[in-house]
Formats: sequence, C-alpha cells, structure tokens
Amino acid sequence: MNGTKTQPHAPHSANWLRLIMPLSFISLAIGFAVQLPGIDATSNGDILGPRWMPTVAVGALLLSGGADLVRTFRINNDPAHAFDRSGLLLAVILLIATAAYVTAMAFLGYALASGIFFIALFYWISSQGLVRSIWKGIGLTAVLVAVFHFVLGISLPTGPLGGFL
Amino acid sequence: MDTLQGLALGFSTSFAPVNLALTVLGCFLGIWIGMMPGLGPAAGIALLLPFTYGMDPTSALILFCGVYFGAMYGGSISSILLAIPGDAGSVMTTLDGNPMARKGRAGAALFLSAASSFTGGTIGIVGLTLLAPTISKLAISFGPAEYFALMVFALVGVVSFLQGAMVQGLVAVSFGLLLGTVGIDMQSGAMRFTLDQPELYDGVSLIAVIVGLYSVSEALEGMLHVKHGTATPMAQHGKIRASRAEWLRARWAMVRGGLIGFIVGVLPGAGATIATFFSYATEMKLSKHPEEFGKGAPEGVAGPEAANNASASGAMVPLLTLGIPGSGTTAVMLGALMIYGIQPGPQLFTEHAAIAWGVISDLYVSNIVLVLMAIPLVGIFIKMLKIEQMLLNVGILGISITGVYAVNLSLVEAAIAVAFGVLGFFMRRFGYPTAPLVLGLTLSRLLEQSLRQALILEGGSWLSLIQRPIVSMLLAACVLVVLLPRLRPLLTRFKSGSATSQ
Repeated sequence: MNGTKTQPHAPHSANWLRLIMPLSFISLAIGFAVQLPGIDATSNGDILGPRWMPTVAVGALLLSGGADLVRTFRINNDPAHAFDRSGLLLAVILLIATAAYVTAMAFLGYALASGIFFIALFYWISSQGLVRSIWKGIGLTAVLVAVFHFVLGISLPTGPLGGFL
Repeated sequence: MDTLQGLALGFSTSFAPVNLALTVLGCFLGIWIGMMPGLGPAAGIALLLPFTYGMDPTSALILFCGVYFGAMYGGSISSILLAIPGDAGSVMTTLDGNPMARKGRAGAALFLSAASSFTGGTIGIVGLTLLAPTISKLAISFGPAEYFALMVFALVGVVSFLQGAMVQGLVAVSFGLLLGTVGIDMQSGAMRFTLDQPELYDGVSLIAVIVGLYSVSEALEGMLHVKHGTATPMAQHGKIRASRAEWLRARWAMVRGGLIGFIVGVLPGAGATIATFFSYATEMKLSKHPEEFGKGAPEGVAGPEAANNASASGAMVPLLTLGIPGSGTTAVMLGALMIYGIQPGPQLFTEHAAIAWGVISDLYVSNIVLVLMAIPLVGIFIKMLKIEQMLLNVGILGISITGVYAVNLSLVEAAIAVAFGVLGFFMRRFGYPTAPLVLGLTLSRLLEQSLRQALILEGGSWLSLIQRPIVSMLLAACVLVVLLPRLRPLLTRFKSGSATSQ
C-alpha cells in the first residue's frame, strides 16, 4: 500500500492484466531454460559451444522480463496508465477462431475452411446479414484461390474437394 | 574493358526491345509480389525461375532485376497503406509510413517512398558501377570478428531509439535473440528447441514472425474496431504529392539512407534489415523533430526506404565480383546463374562481360522504370484505402496466412504466423515495440556464428578479438551510442554553468 491511490480507475481499467506480458515472457524464458540441458553440448573445438547463445539469451530475457515486471508493478496503481480491457474477450475469441481456421485447413482444405471462416467473420463482426456475408466470403475465397493457386501456381490444401482445385 | 565500355555494352543489351519489355514486366510483377505479405523479392524470383528456363540468361537476369527492385518498392506500399511489411526490410517503413497514412498523408508517404527508392537505388547502382572491385576487397577483410561487432552495434543502435520503452524493447530484443537460436546449430549440428518439428529445424520462419506480428495482429485489431463501431476509414487529405516541407525534411535522409544501405548491403549476410534499422536510428538521432518518429515523420520513411533499395544494389557487389550472395534474393539469383551454367565471381566480367554489364546497366533502367511506374500508380494505390474496412481486414488476414503458407507450403508456418499475430496483438496493446523482436531474430544466428568462428580463429582469446581495428572501432561506437544521450545533459549543464560563471 503506497497511500497514493486517491483517484478511481477508469471504468474499463484492469491494470493487473498488464502483468500478463512480463509473466508470459518470463515463463517463455523458463520454458527455454528447462530445455537447455537437453542440447548436445559437444563443441568439436568450438570454444563457446551450442549452449552458449541460448544461455545468454535466456539470461537476458529473464533479466529484462524481471525488470519489466518491476516496472509494471510500479505503474500498476497509476491511473494515468490505466489499461483499457474493453474488447479483450472478443479479441481472444477472434484469435482462437483464427487458430482454428488454420487447423481446419488441414482437414477441410483451403477453399472450404477459408469460405466458412470468412463468412463467419463477415456475419459475426460486421453484422451484414447472412446472404451478404455468404457472397462476400465466397467472393474473397475465390479471389485468393485464383491468385495463389491459378496465378502463382501454389498448391493449396485440397481437403474433401480433392482434385476439384 | 573499362567501366565506360562495359556500361555501353550493358546499355546496348538493356535497351533491346525484348529486354526493355522484360524490365517493365519485372518491375510491374515485382510491385505486386512485394505487396503480398510473405512474398518478398526472393520468393518472387524463385516463383518466376521455372518460366525463364528457355530464355537467354541475360534476359532472365534482367527480368529478375526488375522483380528485385519492384518488390523492394512494393513492400513499402503495403507497409504504408496497410501496416503490413512484406518482408524484414520494410518493417522500419511501417513505423512512420503508416502513421503518415493515418494522418491523411498516404499519397505523400508513397511519393516519398518512390523518390527515396529511386535515390537509394541510384546511389547503390553508381556505387556498384564505380566501387565494386574496391569494396569487394574491403568486404573480404570483414571477418567473423568484424561481423560480430557490427551485429552488436546494430543491437545497441536499436535499443538507442526506444525512447520511453527501453525495458519493453530489451524484452523484445532478448526474445528475438532467443527465438533465433531455435533450429539446428550451424557449427555443431546440435538440435536446439526444435520440439521434433521438421519445420523448426531451419529455425523459426522470419517471414511467419513478421507477417504474424504486423499483418495478422493489424487485421485482428481492425476487425475489433469494426465490431465496436470505432473503425475510422483512412482518407487522403490535401494534395497527393508530398508538401515542400515534407520534401525538405526528407531530402538528406534519402541520401544518407542510400549511402548506409549501399555500405551495409555490400556485406554478405547483413542485408536490408540492418541497413534500414541503421538508417532509421541515424535519422532519429539527426532529426530536429525526434519526437515525431513513430508518429509520421517523413525522414522515418525516406531514410529506410532509400537504404532498402540501396542495399539491393549493394548486395549485387559480392554476387557479381566474388560469387557470394549478399542477401536471400541474390542467393536465389546465384542459383539461377548456376542453372544457366554461369559461375559468378572475379572471372564474370571477363568471361561473360555482356551478362555482368547487362545486369548492372539494367539496374539503372529498372530504377528509372520503377519510379516512372510508381508515381502514376500512387493514385490507384490510395484507392485501396477506400475499400470497406471489414473486407480489407478479412482480406489482409486471408492474404497473410495464405502468403506464409505459400513460402514453404507449410501449415505449421501458417500456425506460427497466427501465434505471432496473437503475440503482436498483445504487444501492441501493452505498449511493447515489435521491431526489436524482428531485429533480434534476424541477427541472432549471424551474431552467434560470427562470435564462435571469430573466437576459434583467435585461438579463444577475447582480447585479440577486440584488438582488431574495425572491431575496436565498432565497439567504441557502441559505447558512444550508449553514453552520448546520458552525457549530453551533463555537457549542457556544464556549458550553462561555465557561461553563468563568466
């Protein structure tokens, strides 16, 4: 308690969320550090060896992440740095949906997965009505397939459509 | 054959109607390829390679030169208008180019970008024509120790321009360096953090990281604005061309960027990424308005853009004179030359003079064709800003993910792009700069390998490593870069104190 909390936070502020970033980076550094002993350290006359750079980088990330954690704690109670969390839940859903889209490409193929994902996005985000969303989703998918598959000659995942693409 | 005779021979080849048409086609295709996230000049040339098998080698190389220059400029268009850098060399252009577009100065930013690309390209090509043999000798004297010092200087430089976000920048650069260690260790063959995924054996894909951090996160952020009804379509205010004040601020930045880009571009492996970072840091240090950087400073667009294109010409120096590719794109061009049965190197200018000088003269022609093509297209590119926001954002997301997949036909890399999209989204929200992460990732491998090789060559002695003249100069420059901003207030106080006492 520093006794300086005189002003209320902004309606959507949730400063504790700021801790996510330094804690994530520190966790990543620890995740890499745990794997360090598993790296074959045979150096073949090399003075530093293959573990040196990862060790230095892990150390740098831990140090800077720690400093960042301290900085975040310091600004945590400062209303001037109030964090706006509005839309964060929506962002997380959107990010999960995008990850699901890439995963679905392996099973449904590019055209089907893209079509469904784009239609869903148009319908959900811009609330344009189902028919307009379907047209836009199919149109965008067709353009992307035409550019990447037919113009640039890139073989996209086909899925159940098989030789249709 | 002297330089003038060589150029005369080269221009007679470049101005042949077929070759001129190929230059125009190359520039046109290059612009569009460069605008696609993930598809930079290297991917563009690789895509066109199969179509050139039956062609005359000189004509094929002329087409590639057009694609190379066109793609370098194309990357800046998507960086400025959509905040999507096509490749690592365009990342710095995004920092001020997109804020300029958001302020209604998209046309000015594109004009400055085209003019800077032309200026940088010209400086680079003149340097290539006149100084190629001398500079290639200098480049050879750049051993692993010197490369290590240069990488350290680049990292210190990037930290120096992180005003107000030093700690977050250090976190980002450290994470980038750590990510760069993923993959097979080049020296010992040891697997590092690959999680048994073959896609990670060559390391984390730089393209996937860049596209994720910038394009995917930008598209997701844009969609959220649409959902909340806070999306503000970007509009062009005032004249499309850059104002007199913008030109005045950008003119010397173009020249400095061109010089920096050429010098760094000559060094094999250093490439456009470091050149643009150096140029941006230099402009920020020299500018009378450093507070405007990151908010739409014209110098922040002009310097890196000139450096980007000059480095393309610089990278041709070791390719043509030594047979060493200076960048990813020249590595693809080296492969193409070898497919045609031509071995680049010291003998190229004697055994295949028409090809060597044809390529050099075509760089001049491509540079002019590009600026003539780019300026009229500015008005068309600006129309992209009028596309409905939701369609634009979904389109960016689709192109980004497909572009990353297209590089290696890998869904894992597309997933990596999405993962970095998530990271980029949160980094942006929490005020973490993303450019240092890209620089850390780009330099990590080269930094490590250079240091380890240098120490082997010096018998494990750190002292003899730092006693090398170029190394000690670069490390001294690092110390200056770190100390000068801290010493400046002390010097000012000392000066004002002595003035008062007088």
